[in-house]
Formats: sequence, structure tokens, C-alpha cells
Amino acid sequence: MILSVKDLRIWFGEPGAELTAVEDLSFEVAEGEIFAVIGESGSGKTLTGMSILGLTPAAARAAGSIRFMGREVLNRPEAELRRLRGREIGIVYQDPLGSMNPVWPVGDQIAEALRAHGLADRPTAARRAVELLERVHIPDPHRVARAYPHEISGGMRQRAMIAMALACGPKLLIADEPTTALDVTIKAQVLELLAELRREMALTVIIITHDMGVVAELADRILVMYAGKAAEIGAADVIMRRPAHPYTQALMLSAMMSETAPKQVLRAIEGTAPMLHAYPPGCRFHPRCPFAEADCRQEVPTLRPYGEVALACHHPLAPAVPGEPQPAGTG
Amino acid sequence: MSGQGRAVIGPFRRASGGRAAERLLLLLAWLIVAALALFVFFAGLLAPYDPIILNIGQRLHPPALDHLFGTDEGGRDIFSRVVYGTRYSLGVSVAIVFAAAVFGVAYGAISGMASRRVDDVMMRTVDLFFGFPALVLAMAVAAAIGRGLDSVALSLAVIWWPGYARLVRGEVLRLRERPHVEAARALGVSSLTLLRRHIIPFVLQEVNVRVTTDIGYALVAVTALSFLGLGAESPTPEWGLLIRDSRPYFGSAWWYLVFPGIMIMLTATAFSIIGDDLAGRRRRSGAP
Amino acid sequence: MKRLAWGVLVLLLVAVLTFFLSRVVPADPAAFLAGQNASEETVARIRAEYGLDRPLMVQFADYLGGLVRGDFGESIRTHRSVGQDLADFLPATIELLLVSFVLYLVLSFYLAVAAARRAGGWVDSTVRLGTMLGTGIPVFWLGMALQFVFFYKLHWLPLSGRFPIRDLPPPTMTGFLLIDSVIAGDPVALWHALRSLILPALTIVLNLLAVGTRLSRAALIEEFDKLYIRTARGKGLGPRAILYKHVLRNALSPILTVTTMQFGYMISWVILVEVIFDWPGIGLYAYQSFQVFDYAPVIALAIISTAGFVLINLAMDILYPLIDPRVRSLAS
Repeated sequence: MILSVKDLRIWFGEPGAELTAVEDLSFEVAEGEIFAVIGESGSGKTLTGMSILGLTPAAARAAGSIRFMGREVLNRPEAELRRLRGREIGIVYQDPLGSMNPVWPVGDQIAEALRAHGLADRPTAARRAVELLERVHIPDPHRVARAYPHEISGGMRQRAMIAMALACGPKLLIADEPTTALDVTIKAQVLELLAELRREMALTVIIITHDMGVVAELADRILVMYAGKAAEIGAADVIMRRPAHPYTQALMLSAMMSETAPKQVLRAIEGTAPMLHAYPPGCRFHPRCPFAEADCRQEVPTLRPYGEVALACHHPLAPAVPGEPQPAGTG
Repeated sequence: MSGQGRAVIGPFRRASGGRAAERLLLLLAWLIVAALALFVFFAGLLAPYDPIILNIGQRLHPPALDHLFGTDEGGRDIFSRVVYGTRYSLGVSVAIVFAAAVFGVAYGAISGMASRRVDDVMMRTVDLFFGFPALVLAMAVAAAIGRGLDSVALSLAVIWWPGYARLVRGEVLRLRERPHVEAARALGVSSLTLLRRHIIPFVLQEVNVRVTTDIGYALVAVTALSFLGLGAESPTPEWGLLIRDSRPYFGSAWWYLVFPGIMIMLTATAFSIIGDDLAGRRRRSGAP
Repeated sequence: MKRLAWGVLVLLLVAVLTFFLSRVVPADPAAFLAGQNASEETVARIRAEYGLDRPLMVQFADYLGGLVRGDFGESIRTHRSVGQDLADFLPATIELLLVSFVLYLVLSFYLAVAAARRAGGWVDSTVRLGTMLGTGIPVFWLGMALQFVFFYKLHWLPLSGRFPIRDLPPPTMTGFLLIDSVIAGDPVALWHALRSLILPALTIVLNLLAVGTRLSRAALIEEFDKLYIRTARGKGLGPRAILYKHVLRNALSPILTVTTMQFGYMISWVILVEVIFDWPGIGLYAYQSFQVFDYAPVIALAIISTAGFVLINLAMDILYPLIDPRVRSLAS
């Protein structure tokens, strides 16, 4: 396991007036796999990703454990985290134009990643930058290296960002909504690039997204988050074929991904995700869940193994083992 | 997590302890303005002595209970002179800013509503005036038409109005595109009414903020010109003039320099604080 | 090139304005230019010399021609051509302005960075309070206050003047006392020149800081919120590297705008400072002339300072695209 998260809790505010954004989160990522964290905005998925590198907002506090290659990285001193960032864990963000310094050439920004960790001197880093741009299939890498971010296309920018994140050869790449700002065709290219890089560089990738298409394309395993907690964790194909959590199923239906009901009409999930200060009691999804029962309103479901997945639900949809009858009490 | 908090450079977050201090400052600022208003309108009641009559026997006395700010070279009570001087120093400043604002708003509103070409010409003209070294112009004007507070007022008003014209024109242009204005226009409402009812009220809010802060700056400029001898003339107890008069004596008569200066500083800062607060309120209220 | 046209237009406007003020507005332009205590003969002479009887348009043409040649008329007080006087007094003003401005840039940089780095901390709060108070302090009062403290109370620095009367200044090469002292290899002279320079420069610097630091700090803080800072942190860069390599470069553009504005103020302030400290520059020169109703120098000062202002603006315009590549692309 390259990454182990245990009982992660992220909150804001002073004691007595705390707002918890992520709670009781535990999951593991195996080396070399592509792990997708899905959820709506406000589910806490981005915060989770950021907390691995200590890049959450200054006001956020965290407790629990995050172990990367056996070492604890949560709440470590800044100096220690800086050695991690870029070098062992790379990170790619959503908005490539905003995320790049507008007054520096692209090549220099990639080279900076190398030089920040003392891995190369100026001329070597510059050369490596061009090589990296080539690696991510950017045509005419020399010209792009000399260009400014606003002079190249969105797709090229995102690839350049990936090159920047991978410059020092990290083992883990965190991609926060890497394709959200891109056109559909470019999206596919970037996803293919990520898959290729994973294969060739033995890279582990954590993708944070709300886009089912991305998940379907790439993910090996999925973590579904809702209102700061884990709803379901498991292998991608299992979850997509037979979602056990009502929220997961609703997500699939809203993206027409589910195979359980191929003729279902596209449906939006009713209601909206609860805000930090207004989490409902019991299961946080119960106000929007068509299958909610009395216990859902009172008891918080904990994440437990359920067949091939881990699940936090009192009344799961699919049977734990295929072929068995549905669990009692479900619709 | 970034265990070292502040030293990390990242998104900015304001310290929480500041709010109470800000409110206190604002209160102080309003108190100062209130006191100034009293000075302007009730100088006769508040000033213990006559500001102009000489009293050589008492010349250059340090501050004491009977002369709060000390006396000047003519034996006159400086506190009284300062109190009476408020209507000149502050009065002229307010007049200048208001005159500049009125003209600037009218000009900017017309420019903003006019056609592209007219607007262009009007704004180019304004741009010519922009950033002009004020003092120099005031000197030249005072040379030509004579000294005095009115000459100073004229020069400064001329320097000041382009700022308002630009501000208002920008706001008018922006508000023109707003849905409620477009809707009104589609209904056939005339430009003038559009301006009056839908645009100017919002613009004036913005102008208000600027006017408040500018009064402080105008005061500094007015006193500077009086200091140079361009503005008020003796024996008018204008604050800048007081400082000018103190020049031969302030080495030993420190009070002569300090108290008028503090008045200018307090007044300017008070208006600045109030202006800042108005700006903050406007931002927070989410005005269009 | 558009900017150049603008500059020319402004200068023209000032020329028209000053012409208007000196030839049209006064009841008797000849008496105006001759000064208050002039005899009948002097007034008549002036009237003939300046051609004040001729039609206005001809006068204006003459006036413009004169300006272009550098002929600003004659000073009643010094009995010399104003142009000559200006040339003599200009170096002092420029020396003061340059030293003040450089000092300001350096201090402002450190203050703004210190305040912005730990935004919300006590350094920041102190700086913010300081700048707020500072904008309310009139520059002329500040100069006198500094004189009071450093001369009258502490006796550390001279009261006024550019060089102590009793001592020997270095031979004039450039007109800049600091440089001339260095050229002459005269450390004592350099010391005297510096001592006299400190208070006037400090007055200007403090005022500039009050206005500029607020805006510089705001520009820096605005950059901190930007996304690329997050990326830089993700690469493993520390706060110092981020500050100096990324933030500063980006904040340079808005800071430059602020700096340009301040030049307009500086020109006004230098007159006040020269008056207070008896600094023999063109500000004091014009002021002393003004006091005795000798107005040609005043008019000349108006034109010169406008020219300076226009020049600065043009210089900034050239600098902008160099600093910000986005502007460069827009321009091309």
C-alpha cells in the first residue's frame, strides 16, 4: 500500500464552533493503481487530496493518520512536507491557466520543479523540461518551453502541468479535477496520457473528480464520498456494475453509467448536498435517499466490509454476494 | 498540515482580533468629525479667546490650563485660533471636494451615456489633466489671479474634478449594461430618466465614499498652499498659515508647530477612516 | 506612439494655460511680469521686449517659439534669464528627488514584503496603521517636525541648506554634490553633503512610504490568493522562494502604476521641502520669486514640472511591456 489513510478528520473553526468537512475517512491506495475519489462539490474530496501534502487552507485542521510509503505525513512540519511535494508526490490542479505563473515561460516553470529539489542545475533542468514536454506528447516542445502560459492551448497547458508534477519522478500523482476545465476531445487525450504514464512510469494516481466519464475510463478502484464521509469503496468495475450505496447508484444513474437499469431515464439526484454546518442526523444522505428508513435517520452508518466493497449504509441496494437475494427491507 | 501557520505563503486570511479595534477607530473618527463640526458652527462659544486680537504680554507661552495649546508670537491663544480656523481650513476643503464632485459627476455621467466618439473625446480631455502636479498649477494660478483661499479653491477644484469624472464615467458604463437598465431602455425610457432613476443613485454611493476620503486629502493640500503663502492671508487663523507663522519660533515654541499639525493629521485621518469604512460597507452589501 | 502624441498635447496644454495666465488674465501683463516694485521705465521696457502690444496669436507664437528654445523670460529678482537660473538650480532638485526615490524604493520593498508575508500579524498591523496616519500628515509639517527633533533637540543634523556655510564644497563637475565629492576624492565634503541631504530626503521618503506601501502591500496580498502560488507550493517551494521568484515579479506591474502616480505628488512635495530646508533647487527658486511678485520663474516651473511628469509617464509606458509578457502580447 503506497498510501494509507486512517480516521482522517478535517475541520475548521475553534473548539465549540467547529465545522467538520471530512470525518472518519479511511482508505488505502495500492501501488500502481489508479484510485478515483468521487463526490459532488462540498463532499470533501478536494480537501482530502490536499491534506496528503499539507496544502489545505490555513484555517483547516486535521487529525488522524496518513501514511505514505510507511511514513506518517499528516501534520508534519512544513519543511518536511516541502521535501515530499513535487519530489515524491506530485499534484496537478484543475485550472491550468490560473495555476501557472503568467509571467514565466512554461519551460522555466517545469525546470523550477527540478531545481527546487536540487536535482539539476539550470541548463540540465532546462533540457529536462523540454524532454518532459515531449514525454507528455506536446508537439514542438522547444517552442512551448519558451512560450508563456497564455500563449498555448488549454490542453497543452494541462499536459505541461502534468509534466511539471512528474518532473522529479514522484511515485504518486494527485490529480484534482484534471479534466474539468477541458473540452471533451482534449479530456480524452489527457486521460489517455495519464493511463500511459501510469503504465510506463509505475505511477500511482489518485484522481479527484465528479465526472463519471473519467472514472469509467481510468479508475481501478473508487472511493465515493458524500458530505465528508466515505459512502462506498471498492473496485471500479464492481461498483459501477452494481452500486451498493443508494448515493452511488444515484450518481451512476445521473451519468447514465449504471448497468443495472440500462433503460432508466436520466435522473438528477433530488435536493442538494448538505452544508458543513447543517449535516442531518444519522446517515447524511437520508433526506435525499429514496430508500431511507427509521434507522437511517438516527444511526450514523459506519464503513464496513460488504462483499467485495466497503460500505457505509444501513440498507444497501445490491446483495453482498451476487446471486443472493436482496437484503431485507430494501425496495 | 502546515503546522507553522502564518509563515506559509498562501491564501490570505485576516487576523480575527482586528474587528474590535476597527470599530473603536471608527468611533474615534466620528467623534473627531463631530468635534470639528462643533468648531465650525460654534467657534464663538467654544473658543475661550478672540483669535485675532493681539496680546503681546502673553506671547509664546507654553501650553497651560488657561492656554491649552499655548500662545503665539502675538500672544493669541492657539487653541482658539485653531478652533476658529476650522471653518477656513476644513470649510474650503469641503467646498473644493464638493465642487469637484458636482462637476465631475455631471461630466462623467454625460460622457458615460454619450456615444462612443463623444465619450472618447471627453475622456481624452480628462486624461490630459490627470496626475498634474497640483502645487505648481496652484502657484501659477495664484500668480495670475492673486492669492487667497478662493484662488486656492479654484486651482484645487480644477485639479480634483478629473478623478470624479473618470470614476463616474466608469460606473455609468458598467451600470448601463445591467439588466434592469436594459429592460427600462427597451421600454422606451429616455436616457435622462435612465440616468436619474437607475444609474445615478448607485453611482452616488461610490462617489460618496470618494468624497469622504478626499476631504482629508484636500485639507492637506489647502494647508500646504497656505503654508506657501498662496492661500489664506494673515491674520486668518487657517491651520496651514499657523504653521507658516510658527517657522521663526518653533525651535523653542514647539507647541506652535505641534498642535495645528495634529489637527490637520487627526482631521485627515478621521475622514480617511470613515471613507474606508463606507467603502467596506458598500463592498459587503453587495451593491451592484 | 499614441503616448507620445498625448505627451505633446499635455505640454501644449500647459503652454496655453501658462500663456493664458501670464498674458491674458492679468490686467496689465507688462506690470505683471515686471513685478510690483517696478518703475514706469521697467514696465515699458518689458512691454516692448515681450511684445505685449502685439496681437495675442502673434504673442503666443513667440511664446511657443521661446519655450522650444528654452527661453523662459527674465527673472526680475535675479536679473538673469530664467533659463539660466533653472539650469543652475536644477541639479539640487534632481539630486534630492533621485536620492529620495531610490531610498523609497528600497524601504518600500522591504516594508511591503514584511507586512504581506505575515499578513494579519503585528508587523502588518503596524504598517497599516502607520500608512493610514501617514497619509494624514502633511509633508511640510513633517519636515519641520524632523527639523525640530534632529536639529533643535538632538543637534545631530543641520537645520537647512545643502552644504554647511563654513565648509568648502567640492569643485562643481556635475552639480550633484554627492558625485562631485566622490570625484574630488573628498570624504569630508561627502559627509557634509550627506548630512544635509538626510532630513529633506527623509521627509519625502516618509511621505512616499505612507502612500505607496499601502498599495504595494495590497498588490502583493492580491497575488498570494492566486492559483499559481498553490502550484508552486505543490512543487515543494518554500515561502521565500515563492515570494521572491513568483509573487514579486507579478506584483511589479501594479506597483509600477502606483509609482508613476507618486511622481506627480513628488513634484509638489519637493517644492515644500525645498522651502522648509532652504534647499537651493528650482522649487525654492520659484517660491522666492513668487514671494516678490516675480512671476516668470513660477510660470517656467509649471512648464518644467509638467515636462518631467510627461517624461516619467512615457518611461513607464516603455517599461510595462518589458515587465509583463501579457501586455506584450496584447500590444503586438
